[in-house]
Amino acid sequence: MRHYLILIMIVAIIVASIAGILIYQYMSRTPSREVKLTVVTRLAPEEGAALRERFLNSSVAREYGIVDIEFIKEDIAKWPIYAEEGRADLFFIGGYAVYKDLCEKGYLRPIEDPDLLKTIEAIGAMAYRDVNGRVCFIATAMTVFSYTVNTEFLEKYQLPVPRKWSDLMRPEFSEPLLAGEALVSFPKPSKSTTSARTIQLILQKYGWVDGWVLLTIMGANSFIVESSEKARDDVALGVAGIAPTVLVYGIRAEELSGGKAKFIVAEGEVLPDISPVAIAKNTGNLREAYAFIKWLLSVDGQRALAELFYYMPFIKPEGTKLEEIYEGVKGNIFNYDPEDAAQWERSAVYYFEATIADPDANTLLKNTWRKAMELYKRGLLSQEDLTEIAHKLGEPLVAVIGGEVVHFTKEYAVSINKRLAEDPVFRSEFIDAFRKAAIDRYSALLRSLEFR
Amino acid sequence: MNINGLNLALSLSIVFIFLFLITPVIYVFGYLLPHISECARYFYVKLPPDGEVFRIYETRDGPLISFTGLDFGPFLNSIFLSISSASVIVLAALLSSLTCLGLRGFPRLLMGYLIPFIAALPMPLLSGYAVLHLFHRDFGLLNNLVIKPLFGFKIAFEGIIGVFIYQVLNFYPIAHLILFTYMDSIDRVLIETALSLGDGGWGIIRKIILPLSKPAITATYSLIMILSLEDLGGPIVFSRYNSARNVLSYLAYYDFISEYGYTISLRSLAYVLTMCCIALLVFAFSWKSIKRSLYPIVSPSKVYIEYGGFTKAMMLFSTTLFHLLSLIIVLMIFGYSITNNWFGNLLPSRITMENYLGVLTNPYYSRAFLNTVIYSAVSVLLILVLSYVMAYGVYRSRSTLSAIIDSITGLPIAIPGIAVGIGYFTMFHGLFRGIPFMSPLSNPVPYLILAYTVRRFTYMYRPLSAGLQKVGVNMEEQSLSLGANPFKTALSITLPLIMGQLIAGSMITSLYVSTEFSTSVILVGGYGVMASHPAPITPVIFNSLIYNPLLVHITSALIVLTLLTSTSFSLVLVFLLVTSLSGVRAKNLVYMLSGRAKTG
Repeated sequence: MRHYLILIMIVAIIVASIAGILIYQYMSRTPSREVKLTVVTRLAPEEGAALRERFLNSSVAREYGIVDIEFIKEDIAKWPIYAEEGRADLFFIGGYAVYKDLCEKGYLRPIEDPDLLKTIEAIGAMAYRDVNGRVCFIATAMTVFSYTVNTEFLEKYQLPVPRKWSDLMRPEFSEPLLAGEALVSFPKPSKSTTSARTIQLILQKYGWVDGWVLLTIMGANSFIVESSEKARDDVALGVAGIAPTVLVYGIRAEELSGGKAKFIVAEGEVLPDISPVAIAKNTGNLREAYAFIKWLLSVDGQRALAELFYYMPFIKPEGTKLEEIYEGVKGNIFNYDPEDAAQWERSAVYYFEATIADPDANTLLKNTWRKAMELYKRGLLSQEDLTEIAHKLGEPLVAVIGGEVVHFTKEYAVSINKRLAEDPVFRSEFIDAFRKAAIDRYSALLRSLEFR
Repeated sequence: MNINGLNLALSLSIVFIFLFLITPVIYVFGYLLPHISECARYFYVKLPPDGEVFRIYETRDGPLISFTGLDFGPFLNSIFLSISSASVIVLAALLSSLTCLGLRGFPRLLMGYLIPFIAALPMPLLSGYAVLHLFHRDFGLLNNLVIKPLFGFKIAFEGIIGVFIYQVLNFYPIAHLILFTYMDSIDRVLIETALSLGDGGWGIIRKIILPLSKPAITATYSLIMILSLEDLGGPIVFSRYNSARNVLSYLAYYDFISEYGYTISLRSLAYVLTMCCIALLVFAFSWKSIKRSLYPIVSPSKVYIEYGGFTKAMMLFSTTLFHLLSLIIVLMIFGYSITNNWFGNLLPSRITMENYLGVLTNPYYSRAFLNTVIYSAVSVLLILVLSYVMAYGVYRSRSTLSAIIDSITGLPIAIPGIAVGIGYFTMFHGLFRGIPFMSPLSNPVPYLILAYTVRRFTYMYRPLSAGLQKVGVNMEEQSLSLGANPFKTALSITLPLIMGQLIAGSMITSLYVSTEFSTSVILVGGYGVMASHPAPITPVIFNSLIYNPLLVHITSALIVLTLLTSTSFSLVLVFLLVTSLSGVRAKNLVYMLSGRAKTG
């Protein structure tokens, strides 16, 4: 019996030792808990999938026990809910104004990890601070916005490749409108960062009045679509001749079209933008969220951003065609002022959607511009007349809101920017008033042209 | 089941439908009430309308006739679109149904049922891409393969006319199936009497078929009007054109959540409620006809009408044309599923099974596939229980609740899906905001299943009602007299006797649950890219196609695979459920289904 007891004890000790060693090895190799990160983003699903694969294969993910990372593409409107309910760990990609707004409203957790702050400084990544001077969000890379053309579409109407947005004011670019088509596929700015940025660029570059005139004529020559992806596909398929695109979508369109589409570096009008990342205020995985940002700023992460999305990273990857692309961009970067744009961004978006993108307004706008073009082609209008009509169509409108007469000046746009976001009743009044003003103006102009 | 038990079950069913179908819509109305005076400005009419029916362009590629349509503003556009779609579709379906009455044997089965059934398979959004591929001015197949080579010009359907064509091709097979199934069940004796009295084909149609089919015609007209009114797929596909965007359903959906500030758009809610009111009006107007004619069960052919040679040839030609045009949409989607780079081109680059493999190996698609199969199976089981309780209550008891039940069973058809989706989101997100697992934003799955159950139970209820009306009560009475309790009788005697209707109902319900579009897209619009997202296939298809239209190939494979699997899986589950509830052996149920009784 004693022998058996001893034998059992020995076996137990051996088993316990082996188990102890295995457990120790296991514990030393894997972290104490497994974490899944949730990132709310504007990345398209397949882009998120590609980045997910890169990150999960990284040593950082293994080291911090991050077993999965979910990229949820959500409307920006819903982002505060994700932050409030603790359902997001991070926000990634979107626009400067979005992050600034989230930061101001307290939806972002300040980045305070000393190691991470050192990394940010070391690689020269841009950090944006809140009113207390704490880092609220950072730029992981830069990107550029310009436009993509479909050469086959342009050839169909014997049009040259436009060198910059203002070329579209030239009468020949309205030829597709006369054939029932649209030269531009322009996304609704409330649904597309690319579109919102393009509007900002045009308003900053050409000024408030001339900028709206150009946007209005572009609107007359546009299909209004729901997303930047649809605009990109329109230009890739040749449904439209031009679409505003971010660099990566321009390159995707080139690939998709079999060479018919081409990303164009607009002369002096390339819009730089940041690719921000921030931590959601109620994250339950702060340590791992920091780890993800560290990876984004690491050599591997920066390379992934460059290779997957053609973002311009702070650590330049060697052996990619990115440097070549960005070499072409040099000298054409517009001196974009994000602080200025953030002050009137929403006003511009809703004004554009009420006066240019709204189906009724857009139809009338097209009819009026088409009529003007027909008269011009018949020699009944001169180039100067056409320019004058464009100005009459596009100059910022005057409308009546709540009994008060308001002129859509830049000052007015700044004054109502915040209210438009927070007060749905006022927003409805604003949209309806300017929509009506636009329809009245376009109708009056159309009538005057019909008598010529 | 005694009367008290049955009343309790019926009351619970009514409460369930009230809570999950009617309350969310009322909640939306409550939200809008304080601002109702401000909503008047959203209702306007453009007179004269913008646009033109068609215009001829001289292009470098030759003449092009572009049909775009008139734009009267959202309210009238939706009304005119639904009236014109319903009128054309019902006329075409009437013609095709009458044509099929002149056929016998396999041609009758093929033209009357098989082709329309396949063509009626719901393929949300994808069918819009197929229509676009058929009629596009540049890469349209009809233009490049038929019209241009034969006539030297091109035709394009764009704007609201594009939406109209999309709806005609999509809803025509449904209308044909309802009308022909109804006509097919008209008593042959009436026809023979007319023949013996010397009446010919057209006389029989004018004096017997059309008057007797009036309820079915009215019901079909109303149904198509409502389907057209709430259709989102057509306007989305043709949304580049202003007139296509200027309809209530599209504006309601895209205004639903403003990008900035996350506040609900008044215009969206006003349009949603307008759609509800129009649909309920149409529904109320045609309720009696809908009650008598919707979802009849396929019965053996009874009526045959002899047409003259030329008339028959012309009728057959028109019917074949309509059948083929609607069938081609489904065939193209199947074609997309087995090819690459076909969309936007004349021919695909190659035939491949990669798309099906992609669905199974890509975690986003495979997860959506799995989600849909599970949601569909759970919803079908819930619908089965709900529908059986209600149908049994209505047709086997003299309960005062029967009348209420019978009227609310049509409501899912009348209330647009977009109204249910927006109602669910507004109400449940408002009530449970911030509570984990309760808000539809954090946990949409229970809401999806509830929405599917209340929106689709009519598809099960109608066949079950028809089944219960067909089966006499004498077997149930014998069971009761032999000592079985009413509950056991309802499960062991009645349920197996209506197995055929149950299978038909489950199949249709599963198909329509799996492809539910508007509520799903609103509740699970954004989805994660990891392998555990909660979205069914429709939001995944929607998001994928917005991202890249060439994903039409893999998403076609996704829908084909999902429809096959979810329908089969639901059928097996229903079969197993009936077997276990009734105590009848599976083998015997199969015998009953095949019409052969098995004793012992």
